[in-house]
Amino acid sequence: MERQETGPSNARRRIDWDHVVFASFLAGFCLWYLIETLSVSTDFQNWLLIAPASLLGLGIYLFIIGAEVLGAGPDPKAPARAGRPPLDVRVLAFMALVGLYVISMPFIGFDTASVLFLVAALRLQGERRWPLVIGYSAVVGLGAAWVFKSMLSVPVPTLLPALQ
Amino acid sequence: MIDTEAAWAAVRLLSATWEPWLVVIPGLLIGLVFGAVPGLSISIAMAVFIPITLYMDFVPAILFLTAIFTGGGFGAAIPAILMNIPGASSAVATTFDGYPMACRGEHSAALGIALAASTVGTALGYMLLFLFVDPISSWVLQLGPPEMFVVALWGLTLIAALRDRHFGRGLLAGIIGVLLGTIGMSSRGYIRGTFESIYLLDGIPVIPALIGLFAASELFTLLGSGYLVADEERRRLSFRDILGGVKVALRQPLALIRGSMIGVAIGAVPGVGASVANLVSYTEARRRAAEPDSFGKGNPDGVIASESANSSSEGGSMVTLLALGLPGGAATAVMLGAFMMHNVTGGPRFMADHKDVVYAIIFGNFIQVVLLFAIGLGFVFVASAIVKVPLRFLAPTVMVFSVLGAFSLTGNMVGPVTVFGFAILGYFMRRFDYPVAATVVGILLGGMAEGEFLRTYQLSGGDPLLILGRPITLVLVLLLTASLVYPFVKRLRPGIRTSAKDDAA
Repeated sequence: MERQETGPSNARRRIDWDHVVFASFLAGFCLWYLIETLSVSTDFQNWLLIAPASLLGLGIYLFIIGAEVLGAGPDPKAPARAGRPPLDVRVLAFMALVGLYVISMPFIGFDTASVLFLVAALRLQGERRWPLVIGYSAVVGLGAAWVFKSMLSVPVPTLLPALQ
Repeated sequence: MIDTEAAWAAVRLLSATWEPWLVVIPGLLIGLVFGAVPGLSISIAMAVFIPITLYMDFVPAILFLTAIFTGGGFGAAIPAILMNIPGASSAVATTFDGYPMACRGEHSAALGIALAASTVGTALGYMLLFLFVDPISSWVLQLGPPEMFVVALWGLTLIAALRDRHFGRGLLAGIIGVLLGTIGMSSRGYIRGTFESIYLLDGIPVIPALIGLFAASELFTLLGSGYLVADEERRRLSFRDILGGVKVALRQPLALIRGSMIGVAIGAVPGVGASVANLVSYTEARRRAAEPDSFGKGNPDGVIASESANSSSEGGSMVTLLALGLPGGAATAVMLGAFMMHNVTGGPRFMADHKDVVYAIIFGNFIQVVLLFAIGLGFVFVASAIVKVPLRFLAPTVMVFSVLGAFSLTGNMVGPVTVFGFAILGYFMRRFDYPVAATVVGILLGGMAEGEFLRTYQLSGGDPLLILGRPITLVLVLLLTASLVYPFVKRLRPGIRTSAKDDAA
């Protein structure tokens, strides 16, 4: 959600709900981790760093939310800026591609997964030349798997017989 | 302090045969490549090539491995500057100012600065090793948990310095990092936050998390951009600019010396090393700067501080390896393996009986430093060509190497999954102005801070007056306090001078 500023002297901001959600996620982690730690043991030596850090994190969260919700005045040090740009669909698609790449590796091998990921990523970013897309993806994807497996002796699972 | 007879014997040892010098250049190149490619690391390089050293004599073997170490130490700065992706945790602080410089089209100058700082830092580190190896080794033996805790705390204070415009967000980001750094089994045996998974018993794998937070999230952010450097005019390779950067660094001798001293001191502490040294050095440089707010926006002094410290820490870590037989980190652990392969045990006996060999290693590294500069100049000139590669090719390629590299570090899917998870986190942190660097600092140091604090508490039996009996701890606490107070005193001084002028008038 974009911020809107009406002017420097009586700027009024709408609540940045996206930021509130994200900050709440971080605070939720602090709270969960504190509870999880205390559930393991209430011994001082278990929580001596985690409890103060978590509580401080929760306190800062309340401060951040307070500043958002109460609509503090404009930060005089902040440069004049437009609202935050909307989330790019291509970014979400690229994230999903990376997720699929990681999930598929153990099943179809690093070599195949890397080639497919590169093809999809290049196409997503607008590269239309198919010979280049396939050629580049094959060289880099298979080459990387070969380098790690054969030269560096990292036991990456691969599908292609030549890389077994 | 210096055994001149052993020194001459070392010179004769090095000049008797060409063999040591044949291995140094390949070692430097291997280190540069492994340091510069995100996903590869120096410890992987050393582990892969250690079998070759079986067929070498001891001195060439160690020179080969230290060449990889030296090359990798600088190599990690290259992706840090060009892509905001530190090639190793020792180059995290290099990204803070190196990458903004690259975005302005000053990539060649930034690489030149990093090369000069690395070269000088390595040289100073080995110089201090040569002069003070015995006193430093006895000092290291006196270090314990209280001292290590203060060092970790010093590094954590960088979180406050990274606050950018939003102090609360910076602090929260750092706290999240500290909490993430404590996941796993504590030194007391408590298991927290693992979801019953054995893969998280040792905690979140740090390097994959770092790759995800820095590299992968940066790649998400860059999507849609054409090139790393927007302005085509500035997207050029310039040897002159690289040399210009070298001159900029050499005009800051005090910064180089300060960073190097910090690097040697911290590098000598086992288990701490370059990943802390670059952060502490950067923190100090920022606190002492005339314009601290310029740090993080492309201030060359930030690159100088980080690179001089992470390079000189190699000399410091060699102290513990040679004089005490203790590895300081993964890379020196591999070197210790090379020691064992040649039936050599580091430690006081080794130092006493084979000082000529120790000096040969040190002198060999002085020559390595000169070669690093020469080879590094050519390497960065070629590496800087990366700014000409369209991001639509670069981004997924770097992602592939990052994910594969993460797998190689953990040996299982935990690495790639960690990269992915932290990439998502890093992207949204950037989107909402939470400094990713603060989280990285927290992850790197949180676990260490908790562990050392815990051991200090156990040592003292809960008595805080323990530190009064530990002079090194007291000195470190005083230094830490002075560094925290110094920026405020600096700000007050103009006010005091002004009121004195008023009184005089």
